[in-house]
Amino acid sequence: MLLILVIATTGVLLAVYYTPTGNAASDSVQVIAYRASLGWLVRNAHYWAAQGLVVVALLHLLRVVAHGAFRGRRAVNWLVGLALFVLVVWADFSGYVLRWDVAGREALATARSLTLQVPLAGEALARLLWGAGDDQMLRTYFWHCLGLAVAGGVGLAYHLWRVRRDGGVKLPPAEAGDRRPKASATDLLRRESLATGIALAALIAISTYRDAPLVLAGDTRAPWFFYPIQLLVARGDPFSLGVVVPLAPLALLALLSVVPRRARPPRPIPAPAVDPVSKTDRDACRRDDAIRDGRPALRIP
Amino acid sequence: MKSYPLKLALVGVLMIVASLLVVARDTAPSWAVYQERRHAAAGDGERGPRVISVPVAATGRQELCLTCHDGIEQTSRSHPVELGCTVCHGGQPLALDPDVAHQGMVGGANPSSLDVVARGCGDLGPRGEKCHGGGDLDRDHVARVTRSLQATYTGGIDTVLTTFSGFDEPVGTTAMTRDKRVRDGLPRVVALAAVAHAAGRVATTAADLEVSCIDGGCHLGATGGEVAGSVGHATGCAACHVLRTNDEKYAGDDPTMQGRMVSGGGTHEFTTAIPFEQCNTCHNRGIYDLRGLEFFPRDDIGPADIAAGSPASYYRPSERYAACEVNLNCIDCHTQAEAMGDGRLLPDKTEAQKTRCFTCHGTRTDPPPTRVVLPSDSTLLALGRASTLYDIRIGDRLATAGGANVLSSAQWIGDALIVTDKVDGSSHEVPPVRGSACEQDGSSQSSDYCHTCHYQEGG
Repeated sequence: MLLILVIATTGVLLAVYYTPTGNAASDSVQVIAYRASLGWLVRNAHYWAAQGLVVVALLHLLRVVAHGAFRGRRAVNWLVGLALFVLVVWADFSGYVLRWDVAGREALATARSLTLQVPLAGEALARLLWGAGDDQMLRTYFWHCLGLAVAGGVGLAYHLWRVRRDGGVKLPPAEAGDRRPKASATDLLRRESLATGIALAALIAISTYRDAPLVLAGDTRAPWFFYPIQLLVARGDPFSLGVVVPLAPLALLALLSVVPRRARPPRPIPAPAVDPVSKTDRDACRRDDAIRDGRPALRIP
Repeated sequence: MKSYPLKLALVGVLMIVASLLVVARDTAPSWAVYQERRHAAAGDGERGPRVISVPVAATGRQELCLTCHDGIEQTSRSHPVELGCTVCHGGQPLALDPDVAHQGMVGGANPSSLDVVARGCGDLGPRGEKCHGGGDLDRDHVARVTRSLQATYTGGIDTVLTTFSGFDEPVGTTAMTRDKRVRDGLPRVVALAAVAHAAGRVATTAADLEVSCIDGGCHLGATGGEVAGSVGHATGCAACHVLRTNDEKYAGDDPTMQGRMVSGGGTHEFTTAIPFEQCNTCHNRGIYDLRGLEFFPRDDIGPADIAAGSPASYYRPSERYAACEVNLNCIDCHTQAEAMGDGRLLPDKTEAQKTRCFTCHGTRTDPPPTRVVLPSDSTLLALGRASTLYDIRIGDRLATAGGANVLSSAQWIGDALIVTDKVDGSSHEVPPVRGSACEQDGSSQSSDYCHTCHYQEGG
């Protein structure tokens, strides 16, 4: 949540100087980075928080898979979460494009070209997602600042509400039976505040020492989370390697929600400490005997 | 949670440290060190980093390059600061991070390097204007220089090929390019191997030629200084127009370049006042054997003479020199077309040299040939504008060796031909042959012939 807040705050500040038109976009990024007061910090924090969000979202996704919180009543939220993950990656990618440097423009051209590979709907989809001709920059700007932000905000709110409605965060099986007292709200708040402070300090430090990239000339490469796709596309059919292969893991993850739970073997009955035949067992035996003998099975105390 | 206040205090300290890092970077940006160095050298007492922005009319953009490069020399009067840096150098004018600002630079620090000169000096800017390229050949310096003998000996190699092997396909840009893709696609220079089998070092491929001719240190794509007897010089146009310094270090006031090694040394300043020492960087160093692609340096001078550009490094003790060869500079008599080519791939130097003794002195019967400067002589007029020592106006009568070979500073004034030294501005009246006791034959105008009578010892 800290990362999202940082991204939103710095994003609004960036919008003060950013000019979403043609070559002026690249110039305005440089004005932000080199001329605007503390612009470098705002831009770097926006960038590093966004990279952090992709990593954190991926780790969160893996945790949910590991804890099995994707089926049953949590299936809907699992699908919402997957959609949010896609939005996070898309937002990061569109931010990469909005630098409008050589790397950003080439990334946009590649993404648009891959979208066009989609059978039947490719053209319409490319126009919807990336625009066409001169409006590509503005379309990307719309998705980054408005479309994805609104969809992400609404989706995140629902996602969080749904977590509570579905019984809170699902614990790993090993901790499910843990009877230790849970942390109080105050303790949680304290832990969160410490973690937030440490994360914020780390974000400021890395934003001070590592500038967000800007590739205005020369060789480029895809953003790190799409780099494997770039390598794949260079080796063969763009549709199968650039569209199908990246979407396949997402489809498989989505299908997890309909995978039935594997039947568990019955729990072994713990051996009684003193009385080898428990009261419950005795009652069951009596009930079975009564049914066999034609007597009433229920005994009213 | 136990010890929460302590942990909170530690996190607070972390936040303070992070904030201090921000303040440190913001108040002392990476480029500030160059401004401090500049102000310390200038002693102007100015303090505090500031972004220096130059509006550039040609591109309509601001350029921040001088924020770091404050103090760098203006290239020339015709290349003022307002022309901007990126017009020639490329790069990113709005960036203050050196790694970003230098992305897309043209030819590194030297946009006149011949492999990029068409962009570096030939183009001007976003609207496709041309500076030193395009248009008529006499104004297209890029096209002429890249085909000149100064840049390539392709013409000579072509001649050898055609003469000795019947190989009649042009080798084209053998020595004009450093692009490996082109270089490796060129034919083997079989003729050289055939006629020079007895020589020790023989080029058998175009790549070998490049190693010898370009990397070897003479022609204008060279970095120089790699062959015994040669002296380091810059590449491309800068080889002649940037005055070299002996220690091969940048000698100007750009704080980012202090003490940096640069081919040929010198500063950021271009000049058309090129002294003979500059020419000697390559010329008069020894003898070059094309068959063996070997260079034999002179043995009568030492490295100190070469580095110092001493007269001894120019004047060979066994040869005679006329007074003008001793008292004037090379460019006073040799024209722009001779030095920078006329667009043809010439086989050797004698084909390029058009200036003869009679060009200025005339013959026993005729005065020296002259021509009047016309409004269409844009190249000549530009030469006059570029110089602070002489001027050329429409209607002036200048000495000429024919065609584009006009001696731009040899002007008829009254009844005399006056040569203005293009380096020091001194004036010299040229004594005419006509009416003198000279018995020269107008058909024998090699310097050796004139040197029979007219000579003085060098030095």
